Amino acid sequence: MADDDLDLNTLNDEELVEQMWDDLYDGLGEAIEESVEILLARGWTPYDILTKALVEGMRIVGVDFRDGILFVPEVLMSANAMKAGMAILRPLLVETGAPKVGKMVIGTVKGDIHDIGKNLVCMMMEGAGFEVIDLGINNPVDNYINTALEQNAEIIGMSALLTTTMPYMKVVIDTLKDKGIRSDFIVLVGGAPLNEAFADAIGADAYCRDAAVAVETAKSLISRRQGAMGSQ
Amino acid sequence: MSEADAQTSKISPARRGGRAGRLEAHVRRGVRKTSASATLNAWSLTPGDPATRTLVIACGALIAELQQVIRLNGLDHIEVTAVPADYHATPDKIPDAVAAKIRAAKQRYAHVLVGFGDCGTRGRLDEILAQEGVERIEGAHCYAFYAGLDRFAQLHDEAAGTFYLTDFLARHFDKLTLKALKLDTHPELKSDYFGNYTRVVYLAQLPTPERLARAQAVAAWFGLPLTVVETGVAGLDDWLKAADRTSADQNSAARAAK
Repeated sequence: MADDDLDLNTLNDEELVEQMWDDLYDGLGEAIEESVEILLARGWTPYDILTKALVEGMRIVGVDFRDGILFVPEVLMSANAMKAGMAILRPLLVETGAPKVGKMVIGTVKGDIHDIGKNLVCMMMEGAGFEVIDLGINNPVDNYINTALEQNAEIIGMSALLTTTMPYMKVVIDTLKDKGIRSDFIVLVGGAPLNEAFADAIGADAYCRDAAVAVETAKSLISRRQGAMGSQ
Repeated sequence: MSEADAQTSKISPARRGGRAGRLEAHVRRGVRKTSASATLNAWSLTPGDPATRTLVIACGALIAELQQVIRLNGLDHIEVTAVPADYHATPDKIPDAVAAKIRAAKQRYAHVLVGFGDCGTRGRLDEILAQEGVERIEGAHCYAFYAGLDRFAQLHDEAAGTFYLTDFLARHFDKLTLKALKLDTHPELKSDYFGNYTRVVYLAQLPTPERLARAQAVAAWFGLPLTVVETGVAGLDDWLKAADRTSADQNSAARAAK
């Protein structure tokens, strides 16, 4: 048992899921692992545990981060707790064939080594059913485009923390245009110094303020794209 | 507030308080914050003529160096006031804090300058300065104007994963980095924050053996090599003198117009 005060086994499913939201909020990785195991033993599908307990819990964390109630250290602790749960669920999700929403190539742009936000986006996108190919940090334009083409990805995601590196996003978008393949990809951008006006100016499809917005935006644009393709 | 949000506010026997405990603490902090007023605490070396006095509103990390520049150049009509350096942990606070000081200062000073870089404010500080008609020192942050913009770009190109120190940041590393990022209580987050860093560069304004030892201790904490670059305070010196010349010209023009 992760904590002497509370036996998680005594909680019913609804209470346990709510407790998981709180444990994610408090960054208690061991408690999350224990709760995931309990729900699996009770016959929950890995997909339901992921979406109803972990992703929803991180969504709440994201809301309070946006509102200035939580700060980066707390969000990192929450993310690490979610990772602990994901480590149990990931192989089970593969086995059970959880639905895949789309494929995204994502990385921090050239000259920039900051990846906290990008890693959160990766985790939340994966939790939302996207296949995520993480290019890591300091990526030149070829990394994005070649990988997106090779992997047949629908989405290219770019992240930057520095005002000096964020203009590189335009280099990637302009290269996509030069190659005549801009419309083949949804381009999402994010990072602390960015805003919507910047995303519009460089020709991105959307600016994503945080990981939760990235997920919602990606889902919406993928769905719109699929609708457009279906009507053709 | 969504249904799920509302549910989480009333739930369950949380171990450390969960969201409900955090929200309660947040409200308590908010009450305390509202009781603090944005006062103007300027430090003057030698008060001058109010019609020609200049106030520099600067990051607390720059105050000692600014006072030195003022003293060495005999710029006795310039005063400085600080915005707390730890606002860098929550940079959204910086523009409003600077704006409040500008508005308070305009009644009492002929000229106002701002000693901040963009400092993670995403251009919002510049928007406010444009509205107020106030200039700031050029550069994204203090590393850039201490090193010089070209030299800083060169340092960044050499190693994007560089953690920068100044005299102030070396001295206050424990508070401004370890404590602010909660690494003092959660050292396991170190790799989340700094896993991609490859070196520490100490931009030394007025290096002393003690400050160098502090920088070495910081580099040892990271487990990374240390590079020392002696910058002095020329960046601040050049900026302040140039801004002061502009202010003097404006004073002359104002007198001629009367």
